[in-house]
Amino acid sequence: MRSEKITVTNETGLHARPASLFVQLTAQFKSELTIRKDDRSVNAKSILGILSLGISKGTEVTLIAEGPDEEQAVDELVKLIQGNFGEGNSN
Amino acid sequence: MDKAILNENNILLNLGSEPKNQAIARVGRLLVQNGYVTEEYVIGMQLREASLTTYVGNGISIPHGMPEYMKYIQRSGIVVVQYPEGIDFGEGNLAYILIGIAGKDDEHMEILSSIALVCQEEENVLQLRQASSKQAIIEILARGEQ
Repeated sequence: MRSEKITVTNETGLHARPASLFVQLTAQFKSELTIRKDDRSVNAKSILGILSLGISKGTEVTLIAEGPDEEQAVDELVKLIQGNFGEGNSN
Repeated sequence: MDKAILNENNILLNLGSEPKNQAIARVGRLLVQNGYVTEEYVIGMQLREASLTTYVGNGISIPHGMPEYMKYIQRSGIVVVQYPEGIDFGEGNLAYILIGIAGKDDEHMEILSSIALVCQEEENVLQLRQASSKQAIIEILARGEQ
């Protein structure tokens, strides 16, 4: 198992386009992927699950992967979040 | 859910199937008629769908405007349109319930997460699809309030 804490920093948070991009990426991995905010965890491959967490800018989440490609999955998801989903940074 | 955001005037039941862009236009018109958004917002809804589908799984679509069209929202509200035969959203996806969202500022995320919480459960979605009264729709969607 691999897990990583990360703060979402893109302007719109993890919904709409960023949520779709996130799910498109998670779908490519075989590992079981979970995203946790506070005490709620959801399947990171479900867009409705992710939307239900209401992750806005500045929210800390934990990514958890378990399976054959867990390392790569977490690395790439962290990269997507850190890159602000290609939104560009308004700072 | 606050009556100002969702009430019986915001719900259409048992509509016949139609092409996706017409269904989104219908959802948009209802948002305009009930005073939530101006006409421009509906253009933003069509653009959002064209650039990235608002089909979110489980037979649900949540049409809403692109971020730059948020300024055309007058007050927060949602509208719900039920299509028993489904609307074709491409790639084999049929949406039976369209939930149009106009969320002003931070309310967008709140409304979205509360709808998603309800629609994650297939049982709730089935009940939305089969609901024969507007009050039932309101009650099901209220289950997502935290």
